[in-house]
Amino acid sequence: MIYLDNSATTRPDPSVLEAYVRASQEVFANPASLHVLGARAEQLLGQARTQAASFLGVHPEEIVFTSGGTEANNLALFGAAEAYGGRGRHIVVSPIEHPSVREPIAELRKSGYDVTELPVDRFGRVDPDAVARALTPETMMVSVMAVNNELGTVQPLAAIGRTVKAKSRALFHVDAVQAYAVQEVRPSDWQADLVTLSAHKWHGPKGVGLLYVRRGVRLLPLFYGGGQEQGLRPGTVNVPLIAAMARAMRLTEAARAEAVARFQRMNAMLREAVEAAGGTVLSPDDGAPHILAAAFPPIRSETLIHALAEDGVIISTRSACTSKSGAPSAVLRAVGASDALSRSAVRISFGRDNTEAEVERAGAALIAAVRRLNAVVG
Amino acid sequence: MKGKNRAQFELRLVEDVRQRLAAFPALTFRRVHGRLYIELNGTPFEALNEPLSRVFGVISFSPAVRVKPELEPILETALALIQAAGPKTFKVSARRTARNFPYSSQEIPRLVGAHILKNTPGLKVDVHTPEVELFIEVRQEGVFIYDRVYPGAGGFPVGTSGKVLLLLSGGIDSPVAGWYMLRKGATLGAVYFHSPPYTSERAKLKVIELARILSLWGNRVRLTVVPFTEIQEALKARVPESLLTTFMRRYMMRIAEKIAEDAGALALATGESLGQVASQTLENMHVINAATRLPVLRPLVGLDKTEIIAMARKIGTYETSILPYADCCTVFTPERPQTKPRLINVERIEARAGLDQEGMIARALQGVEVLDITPDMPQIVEGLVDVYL
Repeated sequence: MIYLDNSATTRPDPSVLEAYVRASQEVFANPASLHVLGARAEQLLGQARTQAASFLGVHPEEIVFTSGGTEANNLALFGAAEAYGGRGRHIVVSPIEHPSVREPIAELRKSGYDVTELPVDRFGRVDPDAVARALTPETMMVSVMAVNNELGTVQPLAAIGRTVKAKSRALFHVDAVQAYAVQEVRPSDWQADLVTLSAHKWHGPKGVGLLYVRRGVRLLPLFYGGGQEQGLRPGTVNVPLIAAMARAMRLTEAARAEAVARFQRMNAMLREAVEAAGGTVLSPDDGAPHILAAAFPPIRSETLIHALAEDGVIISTRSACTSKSGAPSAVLRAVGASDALSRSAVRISFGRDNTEAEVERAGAALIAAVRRLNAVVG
Repeated sequence: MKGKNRAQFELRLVEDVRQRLAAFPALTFRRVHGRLYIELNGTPFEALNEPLSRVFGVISFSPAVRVKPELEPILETALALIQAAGPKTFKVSARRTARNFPYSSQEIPRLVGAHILKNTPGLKVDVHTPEVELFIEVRQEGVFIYDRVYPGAGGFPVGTSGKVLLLLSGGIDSPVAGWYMLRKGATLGAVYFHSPPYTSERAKLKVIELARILSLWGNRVRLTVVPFTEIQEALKARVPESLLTTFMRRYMMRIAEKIAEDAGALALATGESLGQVASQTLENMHVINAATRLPVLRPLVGLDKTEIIAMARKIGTYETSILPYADCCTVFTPERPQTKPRLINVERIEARAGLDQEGMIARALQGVEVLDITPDMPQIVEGLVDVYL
């Protein structure tokens, strides 16, 4: 099998799993316990936090560990709405956000928030000037993702952050779940107040992520309990899982430069294959190198992914989260893709364990499958 | 500061800055006339901001652009800096020490200001309270242009004022006292009195963490952990309860004095603040002080608790200090402590209590654990990093 659905999730690195297993066996105590084993667990947690913080260039106390990207996004949005709703009840958001941002905002809209969806170009790119126009004295939050999960579009976050901070008192939230595998994430580069990461997108374990909460930003928790994670994420802290995430971060940082160069070569190879197969590349040329969206109308997305799976090549129809719903992709709709393109869009995404030889085989399989299916459909 | 002292001070400061910024290998350093130039060579300035703001002896620092000593690049760079900052009002100040530069320090602001105004619609000059003040320094070593001045930590470079031994508990006050000593240029040693099982391993770890935070400001803190259980138990059994804290503190002073002598420290320091708690009345300070010949420095003596807390937050020790672990001063706290003890009475009681003072102190000193605490995590967690992270 050639697994090319790494934006849905990646295979955990063996040494990440090893860290998890060892820590689960050896540092299993509750870090809140007073005894010496608890102290050891707390130290491991503190060290993991310090390590995670250092990779983001932030302070350890600015890291809140969560169960993943969805929880971190929900905590950022609802937590800020609870704490800062008095400042104003207006939210500015890109129309191509992940459902874990879109849906909480839809809920906030029901409870009386005014929501402005930013206009975007055909790749979903936000224009910082449009952000400037959308801001009002009432704006409480601006949320724009770093790298889009369906197209790989990279947002001009530094410029957006500059605009948000220069022209408003709004908080700036960045969902960087798809970004960390391929780019440094430094909240200060974007002047971001809140940044979401999730470990399983870069060969870490599932079920763990983090929210960066800039010093001085006050959130209210989504649920209440024993006050763990500065009260923002109560519940017994899963120290082994967090340690495994910190290790996955270290491995990602160490491997990133090489991986990005390889992804760029693989991306170029697949673009050629898409062209040879008569398809349309939907991703921007300057997008994140690990994500390539393409469409081969009139072949339906599902038909193509099943055909490729038979050849041992695993790709997906746009984002895994929505691919079963059958509804057209909200992202593709937002960027104005035609129904024909939307219906046939597929996403190919690379991980660190993919080789160029694999991608070459996948490209050949893609061309063959498209030709075969076109002969039937067309 | 003048002459030889100043030169030593500066050398020490440069060394401190280099050490603090050791994680950034691309930097190069040059010291000219009381200034230190750090060439970034691609290192982002933001990364240096925090470590630099923790170096004592630095008055201020600024990210500056160096340009050729010619008018054209000065105008261009000045305009670019102002446009990046995007203020509504600005002012240009200039200083010229390079006499061969053809424009005077009065002419430069006029020329630069006019150039900026011409190219930036809506911008105004405000010489009194500008949003952005642009500084242009024309020196022999180059022309420097900057618009931001960050305050440094002030004080003197660590190690220029000799060595002080801090009595470090897990509380809010003593780390702040240690910070003030560091700021005045002292090299800091710290002593912590550990009383298992009355105080937990975690209380000790908390103190280690506090020492680590102090080491962010002072490079290194040598922490001596003194086993104190025997002394506390003996005092509890033999002296009036109301004077327990007073006696305990006298023993701490005696032990600290010995450690200070070995380390070459010329003074002790504590986090006491006059009248803050029963053991910090003037009478108690007098009685406790009499147990040592060393000067006891109390940098917080005139501060209120709210001021101490504000400082603890500023220097980063507060969150750790408030972790709820018992320390040795809280375990044996008397219910009605004596606030006005008299030295003569205390000495009389001590003489009659039949305590093996020499022996107990010697045993405590034999059992000490010495930890060299540096800004990287202390040694005990190293194993964790390799195995799990």
